[in-house]
Amino acid sequence: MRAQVQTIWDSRPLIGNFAQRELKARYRRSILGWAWSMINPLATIAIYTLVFGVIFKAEPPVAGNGSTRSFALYLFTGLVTWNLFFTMVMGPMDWLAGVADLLKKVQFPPDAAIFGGTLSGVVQSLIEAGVLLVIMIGIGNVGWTYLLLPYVLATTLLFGLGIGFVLAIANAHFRDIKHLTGIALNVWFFLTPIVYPPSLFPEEYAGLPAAKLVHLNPMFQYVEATRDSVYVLSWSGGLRLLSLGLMAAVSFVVGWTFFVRHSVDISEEL
Amino acid sequence: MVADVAISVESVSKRFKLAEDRASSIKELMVSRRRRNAESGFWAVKDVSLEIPRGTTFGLVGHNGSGKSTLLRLMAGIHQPSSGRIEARGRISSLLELGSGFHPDLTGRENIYLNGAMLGLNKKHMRSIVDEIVDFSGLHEFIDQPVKVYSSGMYVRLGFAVAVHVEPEILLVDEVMAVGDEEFQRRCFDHMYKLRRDGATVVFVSHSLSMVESMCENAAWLDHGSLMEVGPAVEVCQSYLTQVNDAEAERISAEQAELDAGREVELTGEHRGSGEIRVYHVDILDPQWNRIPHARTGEPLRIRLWYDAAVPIDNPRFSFDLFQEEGVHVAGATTQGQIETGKIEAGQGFIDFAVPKWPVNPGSYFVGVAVTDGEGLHTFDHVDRIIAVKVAAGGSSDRGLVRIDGAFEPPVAHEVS
Repeated sequence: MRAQVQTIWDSRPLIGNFAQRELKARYRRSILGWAWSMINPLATIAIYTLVFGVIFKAEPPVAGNGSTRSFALYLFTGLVTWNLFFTMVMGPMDWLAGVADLLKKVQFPPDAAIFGGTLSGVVQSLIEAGVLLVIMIGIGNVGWTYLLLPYVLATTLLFGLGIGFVLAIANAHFRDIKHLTGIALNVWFFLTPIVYPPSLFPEEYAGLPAAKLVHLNPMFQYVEATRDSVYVLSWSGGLRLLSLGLMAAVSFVVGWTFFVRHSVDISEEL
Repeated sequence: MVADVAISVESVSKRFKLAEDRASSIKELMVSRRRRNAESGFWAVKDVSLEIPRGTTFGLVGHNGSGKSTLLRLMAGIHQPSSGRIEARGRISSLLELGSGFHPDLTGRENIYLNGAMLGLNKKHMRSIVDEIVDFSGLHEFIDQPVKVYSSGMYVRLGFAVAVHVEPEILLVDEVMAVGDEEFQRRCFDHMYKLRRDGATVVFVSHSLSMVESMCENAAWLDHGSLMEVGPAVEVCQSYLTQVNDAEAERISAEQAELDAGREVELTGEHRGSGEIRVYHVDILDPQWNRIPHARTGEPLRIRLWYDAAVPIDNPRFSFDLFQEEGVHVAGATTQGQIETGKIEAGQGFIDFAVPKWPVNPGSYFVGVAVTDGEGLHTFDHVDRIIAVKVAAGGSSDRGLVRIDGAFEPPVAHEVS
């Protein structure tokens, strides 16, 4: 663990370079350029708002300022967290495959490519979170709980990245993994109350206490903590916040170590 | 490890998985897990041990697929040995392939930074040497273009420029410099010498034995992944060359045996000309008029042109030309000015060209022939490539295309006042 931290610390220039490359490549040759990093989430919000807010008439809770009741903002809050998680789980597979050619010709720690990609994902997430906060401040929904947002997002990132590390190795051996993950994340997304409030969850379903079980979904905890922080503006509870950190630490340490162990000769598989 | 050893390789083997070793379905993955053992796969490098002293230049020679490049990659740390140990002390910069380590979508300049970063150099350091790199590569006007539009020569120039300017302690170079033009190659060599003077260790793979002999102190010869010989470069190259020549001679005699079994198989060249008379075959004979599998430098031989005339022809002019495999015109001879061929009757016959000492050095050559009328105005027959001729080494080693007939005399002390 010490050695892998040292190695990655020494690779800072490389990580920076990979991050830059990822960011430059993302909107290269598009006329709107970086505007897309905003247009995409806004379009998603518009679609979900239409489907769930207007057609299904999902009722969002009242925001922290006591007056706003906006499904779009409620949704956006949850999406910021989910998008970050999604990028951290899916991204490493692409980031590793993206340096396959380089790995065959030059020696460098493969996790540097993952961390570089992570940085680029962080940039996207910061843009979304920034826009969210600007809107919230604009409508007067402000609270000290904002201070918890960095912690919630950081733990979300580490939790997802740990999973992403393992999947990147698995995907190098069996390309089915990426497709399977895409489907699994889609299911996970709709099982997590993001596009609908948790109150819509049935008390009981097929003999199972569904409303209780949803608390076992880690992403539910991360999403709820984000909403508490910037939408509802209430203290999320020490236990929840602690468990977010624990899940993140375990996932990240296990995933990263697994990756470093199994990426020694990974260039032969790519 | 001894202090002055830059790279030590201890009984290193490397096995690559082959496609059939991989599980291609879930079922196979479950069922055959235990059956795929360490014996399967392809052993690219087998039990190789050697040490490369610090500050020296080391060559790796061997035929294609002998494991040279794999060994170089093992030294670079790109592959991990399947068994054994490799230890390299010092910062390694490597130039393993065309455009090694370049990302096609990034510009030349961005790639310089990327490569520097991979060697652990920070932006500040890179900024201080980037101009030097651009100068050396000579790619000023293309440096801000994505490298995917570069030609192969440009790739190599940029790659080499980066590899040598990051102040490596160990430089690993695969057979890549051949792509650059003469002038760039010379600059590369100058720079490699300079690196060596500064105490860097250089390891390179080359098919050019003369390059290895002139640049390296030591060399290793690999054959099918096994180390055949390691030692002073000149000796290693000699043993390698001897083996190559023996194998070549063996192959040629086998080929010739096949040829002798059924004559007239080698008439592959296209005949041009009016065709009243044709050269249908060429033989290489020894002085006793036996057909020989290959010519030998420095020994007598005859070149026999077999002709077939449809009608009687008055004083035709015969000629032949010798081309090197790459197309270089080595030599040629014509009857014009030598002899009058006189009247040739309809039917078959031959005309010999006797060589007292074959001057051409070992290699692969082609013979082309032509028959024209006495004035050289009308072409009866012309074939660019009628037979292939192999020349094997005989006696002393020579340089260049032809052997200069001459001898060195003992040195004489002579002070010029």
